[in-house]
Amino acid sequence: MNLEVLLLDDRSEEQLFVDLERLAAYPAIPVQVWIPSRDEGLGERVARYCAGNTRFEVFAHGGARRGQRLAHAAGRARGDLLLALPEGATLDPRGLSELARVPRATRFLAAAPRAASAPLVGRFGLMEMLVEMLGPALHGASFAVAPAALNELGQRRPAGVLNPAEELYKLSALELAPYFPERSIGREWALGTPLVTPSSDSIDVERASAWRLQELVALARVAEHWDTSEHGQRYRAERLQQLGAAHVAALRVWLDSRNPHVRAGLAPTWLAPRAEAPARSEPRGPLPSAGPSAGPSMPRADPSIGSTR
Amino acid sequence: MTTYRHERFVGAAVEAALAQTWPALDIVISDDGSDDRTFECVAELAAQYRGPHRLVLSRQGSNRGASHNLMETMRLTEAPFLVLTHGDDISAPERVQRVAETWLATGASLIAHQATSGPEPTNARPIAPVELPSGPISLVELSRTSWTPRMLGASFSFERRIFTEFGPLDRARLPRGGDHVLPTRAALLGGFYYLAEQLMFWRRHAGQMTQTTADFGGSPASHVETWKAYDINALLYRLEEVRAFAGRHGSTAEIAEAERTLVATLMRSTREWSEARTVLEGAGHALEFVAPRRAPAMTEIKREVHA
Repeated sequence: MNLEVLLLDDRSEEQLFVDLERLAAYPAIPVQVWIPSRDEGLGERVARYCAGNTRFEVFAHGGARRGQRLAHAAGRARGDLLLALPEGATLDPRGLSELARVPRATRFLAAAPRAASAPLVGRFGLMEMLVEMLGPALHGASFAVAPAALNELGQRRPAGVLNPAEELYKLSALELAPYFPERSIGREWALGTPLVTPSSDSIDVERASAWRLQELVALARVAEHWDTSEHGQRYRAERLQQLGAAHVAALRVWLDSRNPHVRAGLAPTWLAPRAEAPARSEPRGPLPSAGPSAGPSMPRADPSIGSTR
Repeated sequence: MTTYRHERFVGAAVEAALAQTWPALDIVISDDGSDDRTFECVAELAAQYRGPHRLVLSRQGSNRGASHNLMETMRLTEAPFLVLTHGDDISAPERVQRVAETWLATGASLIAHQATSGPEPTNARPIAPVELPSGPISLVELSRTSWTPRMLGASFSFERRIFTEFGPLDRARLPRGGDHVLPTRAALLGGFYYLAEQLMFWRRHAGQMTQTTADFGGSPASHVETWKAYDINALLYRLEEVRAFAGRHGSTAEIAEAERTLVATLMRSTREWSEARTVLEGAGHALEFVAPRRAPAMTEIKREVHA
């Protein structure tokens, strides 16, 4: 399977060139670089840097939402699997070397949880994956998705699914009966080693476990759209039971990270951002992954998206 | 009666306890290491008391928390049924009488009742909707909700076995409160009963434990996130206790349904929590755990005034 890397999210110029330098070390991997169209100077500098190297394609976006960029990136894909590389993250040669043995039919690829005692290698289903996620976090940055699956999912995302839901949303939508009742579980493939090395591991336990919980909440909302046919009902009942069990386990992990503070006599308080600190554009949590992030209100193709080349 | 830093209120609480119409009570008062004159006030009133009830006073060497203090209080009596009160609340004279009669008539393991609430008794309002009738609340019905006004912990009276069967509340897993949990325990034993009679005044003030359960002074989203976190904690604790009980005694159709209902309630509450958290995180707010603003003890106020 051939991987294609997307530099989809805005980042500082300095960081962008660091990321490009790192990617230059992998001559077999095509790269799409997305630059805000308002930043013409940066676009020109990146285009100059990439000139003569057909592996790199540079695109401008006029502030389009991430989901839109992803949809466009999927439409232009040259690789079998797309991986959105987070800012500062690097590819892991060990993970890449395993790509060769991934079956051609694979639509979704994930690395094993970082702290898994025994790396998961091979095919496994949604609930096994969920269970793994509840302890050591399965890093969203390691998810690579087939372009066709991305397009399919972008059209099928049900209303009301909140961010941060992307990782589990993808997993569930790829598997669930309402959309693909004829397909069996197991089209996913897990690598035993990470595809990428995360740039930051500073997420504290409370936030990381809260994030997982939010994902499960989002998955429960997806479940409302599950198939109601006779076949679907059986599937649904079984999955809802598993989902409830995963939910309860995730709650305990989250509360065990929160309770010691409360027991020590401290009160949970949400502090407003400091005036001098730039507001975050997205909630903190595991690094973003490739996947449809726009909701049902996703606008039509933005005319401001186009190649600078 | 458990007390902690109740110097301003404990006189009224003790007088109300001593004025109970039930013929002869064991009244156990345990102070949780107050650093004001709470215990001295109690001791003075006890020394003056001449009446039918037997008084037992106890003072903890240090502040160990309300749950620990309750366990200490229970250690000082062998009574099978206990009427709980706190040093900042005021019981109606017939409270014990009505609760005991209800216990004898229903066999419920825990009885809660209507109360009024406010800073002072003169401007207090009912806590539960007044149209709610008296009656038992089943395990499954309880499992459909998190906390409701019919579960006011300050109004609880209970059989000792809700602790001997389940043990003290595990503060590593449930750092605050017991209002949510004890009715579930009772429903697994002899039942939980709500008595729609106004039998006590529950005082609201800055120093009460309830104020530390959530960010009451914060933004609406902050309030919801912290309150739901507290709520979810208690729901999960209830689920774990129901499962543990089923493990010890075997499950029944009712217990199995209660389990499923609790999981559904948990998922619903977690969704509300998640929505609030998404709003906060999206706006760049950060969760911190800070020392709560506690009400100063009377001795501190006096020291400040003199300074």
